[in-house]
Amino acid sequence: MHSADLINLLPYLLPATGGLVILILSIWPKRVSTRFLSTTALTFLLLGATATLLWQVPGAVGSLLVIDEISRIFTLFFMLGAAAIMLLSFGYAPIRNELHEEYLSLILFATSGMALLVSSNNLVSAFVGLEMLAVPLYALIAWQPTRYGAIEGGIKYAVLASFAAAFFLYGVALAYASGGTLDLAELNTIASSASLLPVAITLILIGIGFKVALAPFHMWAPDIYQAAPSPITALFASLSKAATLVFLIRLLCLQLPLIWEALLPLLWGIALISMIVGNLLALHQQNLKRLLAYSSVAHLGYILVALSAGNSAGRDAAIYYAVTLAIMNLGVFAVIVAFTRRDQDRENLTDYRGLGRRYPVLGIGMGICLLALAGLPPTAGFMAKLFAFGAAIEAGNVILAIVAVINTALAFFYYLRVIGVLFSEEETAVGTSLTAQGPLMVIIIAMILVIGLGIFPQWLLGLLEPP
Amino acid sequence: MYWLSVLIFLPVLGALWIGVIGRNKTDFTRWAALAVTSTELLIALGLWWNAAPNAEGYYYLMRVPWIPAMGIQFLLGMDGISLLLVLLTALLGPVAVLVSWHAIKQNWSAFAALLLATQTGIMGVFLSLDLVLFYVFWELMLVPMYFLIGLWGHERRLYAAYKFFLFTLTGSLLMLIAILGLYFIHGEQTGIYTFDYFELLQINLPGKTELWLMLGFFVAFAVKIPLFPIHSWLPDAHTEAPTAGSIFLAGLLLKTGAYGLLRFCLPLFPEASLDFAPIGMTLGVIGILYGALLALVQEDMKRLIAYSSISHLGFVVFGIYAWNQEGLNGAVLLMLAHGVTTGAMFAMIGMLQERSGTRLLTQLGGLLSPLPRLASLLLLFTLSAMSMPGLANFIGEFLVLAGVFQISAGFAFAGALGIITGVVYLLWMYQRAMLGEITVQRLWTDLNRRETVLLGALALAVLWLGLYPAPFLDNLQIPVTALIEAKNAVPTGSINALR
Repeated sequence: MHSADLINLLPYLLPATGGLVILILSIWPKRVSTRFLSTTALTFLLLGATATLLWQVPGAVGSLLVIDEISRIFTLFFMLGAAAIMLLSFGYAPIRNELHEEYLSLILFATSGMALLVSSNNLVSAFVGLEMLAVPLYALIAWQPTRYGAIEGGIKYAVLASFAAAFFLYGVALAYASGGTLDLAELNTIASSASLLPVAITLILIGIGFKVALAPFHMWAPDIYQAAPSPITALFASLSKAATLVFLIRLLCLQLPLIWEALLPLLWGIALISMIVGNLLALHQQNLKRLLAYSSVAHLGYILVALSAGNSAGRDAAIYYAVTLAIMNLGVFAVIVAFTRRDQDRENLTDYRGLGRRYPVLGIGMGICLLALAGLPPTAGFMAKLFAFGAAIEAGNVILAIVAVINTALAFFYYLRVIGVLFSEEETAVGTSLTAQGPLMVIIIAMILVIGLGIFPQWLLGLLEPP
Repeated sequence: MYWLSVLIFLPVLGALWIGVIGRNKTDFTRWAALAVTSTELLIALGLWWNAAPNAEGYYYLMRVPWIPAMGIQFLLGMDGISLLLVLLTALLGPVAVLVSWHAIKQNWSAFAALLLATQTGIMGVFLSLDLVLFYVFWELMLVPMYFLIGLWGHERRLYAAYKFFLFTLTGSLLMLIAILGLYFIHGEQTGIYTFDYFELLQINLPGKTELWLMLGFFVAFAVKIPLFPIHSWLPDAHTEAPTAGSIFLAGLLLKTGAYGLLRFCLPLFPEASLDFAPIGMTLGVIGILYGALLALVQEDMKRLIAYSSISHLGFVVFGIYAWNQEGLNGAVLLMLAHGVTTGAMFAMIGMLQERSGTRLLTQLGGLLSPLPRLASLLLLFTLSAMSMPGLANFIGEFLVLAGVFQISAGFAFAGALGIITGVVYLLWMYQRAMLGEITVQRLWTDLNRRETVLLGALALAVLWLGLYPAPFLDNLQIPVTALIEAKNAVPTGSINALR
């Protein structure tokens, strides 16, 4: 192993080491303060983020990991995102006294799993990354088990995620059977002759579909969104979905373009179903977290609209969409965290009445993030949709683009409903006063990014262009 | 010319300024909003003063790369048509602020910020020549307007705000598809992927595709204008909006639809538009008669004026699809006249409502003697709205009818019937509100100085447009000629395909 390899491995090692260090601190004879623990965790994350900047791209670690601009941007993004999730957790009243060492170390492990996933060049390393991401989530979803529905949510997610992992593994096995290798670059060379490979990738796609909640594999999403503590919902609604999606994009668009082409009709169908199902189910939803779950099913549908175009514009659009969707969701959940009551989330929309008037910064932040999710210019959400629909039209998928546009109009209805509630004149009893600074910081950064990336999308697109 | 971007961004910067520091400082925000909108008006007048057209008739152009990877530019341009509409937008800005002075009771800073943001969106629509930029502003103006209606409106404001937003949004999203289609077809033909309006003008489209793309644009504009089957958002939105919102809606937002037809539908798709012209004129004439007939039976003054707007905008569409010198000139002049007149009417209805607490004609009456100044100014604007010669609307409607007459006498006759109905409902409205026995005894106060100034300015504009429209018509010469050339360039075989 060369020293360059070590530098390349640092961003994966640092969060994992951080997780271990925090676990060791937990058996330290003297009691360690939460503040010290959180500082340690944040330090490791920031170090990991800095380490990605040392990468020489393009590079590789053996044949397992590939290091390119995509993995750099997303690894950086996940480190900072995980830091944001921690900030949210500190400001989240219901689990404030439950932030033990394990909580922080689980987030750190999940982060290194995400980093591993986005740069996998091998189906095995991808599976390892996927599970390193999923297993901490089982525990985090059920955090503070005395909460209503916590255990139920954790078990539900564990069962379904293992189900998805089984599909994924079966696909991996078939891929090995057809090609005799698990290396994606080598699989590509035999892609034209291996008749089993499309089947294998379809199974992997189903596994991923479960993880990111594409229709018709979306049934778990609303329940888990509702059951998990809001910072954790933010973690898997934005970061973990983005990681899984980026792996899908890498698998189909970068490594196995032939298979991508073969699967286009399937992607087309899933895109159509996801958009329609997600939006229709969100339309009359009265529970904000469930509404966001269904709306993100629809958003995954829009991303597949881009992917089913099968061209380079579609690939770029999907990557851009994955980043912006993660940021917008993070912003929205930051507001939910900030508005939370002492013992539980505000769930029903009626609990949010008038809060936007009373707390203008949070209200405006929520409004901007929701309008961005709806796709209003000049936010990043609009640009993402513009690129995605543009790719579809370029590929001649005009029908799909028109369905997507009608769905977008439909989606405005429920996003506006939420904003209308936030700024309505009657007020719900506010409950606790809001003092947490962390969520406020996250929402402000998310707001700036959502508008900044909307006005200057080439910040992101320029980084993705091969030099 | 960076002044164009000043024109666009001054209001939104003002909105940020007021929104950030203006909380609970009502008096300050009023004056700040007035200052920003007046500066805007001065800049617009200055641009008018210095206007010198280039070969294509553009006074000012500004081109900055925005997203080079997609061929999206920050491309602004001002020709005669946009100049006139920008002037109208700038004029109605201070009017809307002055009208809301005491009418808005709560949250003045947020109200002013949203009003200014709407103005930015509208300015952007009138000035952008890059299709994506145009689309951005086109949707951007919806949001603040949605909040203006939804937060400060009357009884059924939320319903009206939803309806307004969803109607216009669905239309404009279809336009987005058409824009993208145009972009890729142009890219495939020429190898240049761009949203630049001037480049896209050169495009050569196969017949069926051209028709579909044109319809994509047309739906978005038809919702805004609004044309007959998709007009139902308008009466609700106009009635429920606060006075300033109604002024912006009727005075400016409706014009963006007609402007879109002139700027994009006709020049980009001349062949399809020419085929479509008879249908467009039919929709126009239906709008004229339908709006006028429904205005006849309204009790609510705001609703009455809202339906009369449908009728007047029908004339504008009429003139646009007549597609000749008189028709196009008339359509643009009528847009200006309708903006000023209807703006003034909504302002006065707002003032009446502040004084009497109602907009219902059944509960008003005999207000001529207690409110002589208000009544006489209302008479002036009512006469203008029913196109009395010498006042603003007359020139526009006369030119439109003259243009339509060359195409078809039957259509012109139907349009003239619309004017006659207009005289009936407007005079009847005036009679029921101002003449007859006074129904409510209370302490009436006539117009104060602020109201007199703002209405006086609008009255001057009405008189100017009516008596000496030449300075406005001069601006239209080059753009209108260009539009007619686009029509004449269409190969003759394809005309009459739908007639």
